[in-house]
Amino acid sequence: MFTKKAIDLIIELRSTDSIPHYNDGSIKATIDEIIALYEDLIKTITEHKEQKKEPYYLTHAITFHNSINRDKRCILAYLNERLNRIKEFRWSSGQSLLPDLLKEKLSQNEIQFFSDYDKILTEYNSKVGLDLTVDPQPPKELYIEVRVIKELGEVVLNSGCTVNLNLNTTHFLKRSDITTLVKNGSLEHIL
Amino acid sequence: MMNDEYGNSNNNYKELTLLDKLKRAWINEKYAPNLLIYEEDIIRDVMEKIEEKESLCASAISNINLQFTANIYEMEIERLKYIIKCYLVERIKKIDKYYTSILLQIENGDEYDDKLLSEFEINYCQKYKALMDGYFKNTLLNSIPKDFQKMDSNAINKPFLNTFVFCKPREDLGDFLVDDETIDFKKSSIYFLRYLPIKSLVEGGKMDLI
Amino acid sequence: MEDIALSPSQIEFIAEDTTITVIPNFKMESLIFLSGEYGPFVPSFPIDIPLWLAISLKKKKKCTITPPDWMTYNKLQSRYQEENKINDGFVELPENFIEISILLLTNCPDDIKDINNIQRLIENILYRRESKLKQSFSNHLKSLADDESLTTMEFKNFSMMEINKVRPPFVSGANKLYKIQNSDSGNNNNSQSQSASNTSSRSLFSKKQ
Repeated sequence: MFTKKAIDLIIELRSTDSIPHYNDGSIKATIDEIIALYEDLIKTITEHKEQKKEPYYLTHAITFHNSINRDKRCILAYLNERLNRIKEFRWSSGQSLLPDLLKEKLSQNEIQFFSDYDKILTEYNSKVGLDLTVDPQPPKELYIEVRVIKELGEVVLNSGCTVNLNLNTTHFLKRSDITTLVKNGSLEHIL
Repeated sequence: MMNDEYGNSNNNYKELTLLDKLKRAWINEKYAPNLLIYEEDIIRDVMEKIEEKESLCASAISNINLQFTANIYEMEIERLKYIIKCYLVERIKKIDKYYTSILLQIENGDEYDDKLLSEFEINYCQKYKALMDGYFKNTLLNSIPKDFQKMDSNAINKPFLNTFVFCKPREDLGDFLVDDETIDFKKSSIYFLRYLPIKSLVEGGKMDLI
Repeated sequence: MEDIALSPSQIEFIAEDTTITVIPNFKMESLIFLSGEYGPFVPSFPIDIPLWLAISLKKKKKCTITPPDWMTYNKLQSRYQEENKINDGFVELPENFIEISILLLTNCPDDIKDINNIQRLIENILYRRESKLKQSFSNHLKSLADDESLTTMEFKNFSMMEINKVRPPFVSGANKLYKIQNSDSGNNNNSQSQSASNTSSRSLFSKKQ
């Protein structure tokens, strides 16, 4: 059946909320199918120029034409949904670097996309003067109590003060100073 | 006027504060399916106030007596920044989703559409489009026959304007034709209806989404 | 990233801008916020300030909070009775009464008289309103003819939290119905010209006075 591999791509992605390994094999196979369908389509149209309005050749051409478009749409949907999930990672983590675990699941183009997307988002953030990717929760208290779960040593905070963030120590710090550190798992908010 | 036992009609008496306007901008953007005009004046005014207050707080740092007041202002600043962030995030989400149709709207539109994006958003949107277009070319479109390399026009994401929304008129608006139905929009009521018929009321600042 | 509704904590955040009366135990000059001027603070003199500030001061033991008039036992009791009496419509309560009462019940229980009864009454009112709302939506759907589009619904005294709670099912349900009814027109869903016909005016929850 035509477009089988393309549909499998969609099913594969839909079965999970995370980012599965980039399925280079199925993408390449689908592109090959598109090229083969196209060659056949052109052949049919040119070889049967006079009969091309006849139902037999007409349906043949339409089927091939639609199959190509379906292949194309499936790949685009697959690629696009993966980009959405990659962007979602950039937003929810606030990080500019891909962790290795995620990186090995992405294609070279996707890794490039992440770094380019990071660039334009970081540029926008710095222009408006606010980091839009941190702060998922509305502010409650100005200061929060946190415990250090990753050794950081001496850190200079945005507000200018210096603190020693040694492993397992607890601190009462300004929330706006440390949201990024909480988000990347260096500190934990003590409730 | 009726008395104000429940505090719901406060706004009849006083003008909207800058805070009210900022919150409305956020909530309207949150619930409108399409991108609304960038609220340049509101955001600029709020940012100015934030800067004023931040420098005030910074100068209070040495004075222990002012520390308490400064902390309160810092809380207010945090709250304001949070709303601005939410507002800008809602917009970036829509730009990411509808970048092609937004740029087309600006290209083909009138003066109104010129104000759709802020200066920084335009820059972002154009770069984002270039990034996406380049990505799809590199991964797929350049590898398939020329006749099929163009993006279908129906592959362009457009907002679903017929979505149902909850809305509240800012004032009594009188009779409006919604589809074939005449609705007497009253300030005291909340309506659940399709967005498209009231789109112009929302964009014209006569109706708020909630 | 794709949230159809505000989160409960965001709704609470918005409600925290409501003003409330506190009695401070300290002296401070007026505060000038984007929402207006508050103060000066004089010990033992009641003053209206935003709820977020009231809660913060309360935590620092700098004030006592005076619960709003509607949150007293007698007022809530009569609201509840009225809520039970009327079948179409809700009784009037502040737009953010749910968030405000939750915030006050958790942050200043010592300032609320009769706290257990008040908590119970608020729960009862919420429960009653929720069942009325579900009923009304299903009645509205039943009142439509087979091929009739969903018409405008009008509500009164509907609170923010309640809207948000019903938003996902209401919006997705109504959108699906709309798409099904308009799918045979051959237009895609983004069509702007499509306008529903055969509609008639119907109004729900508008108090007939």
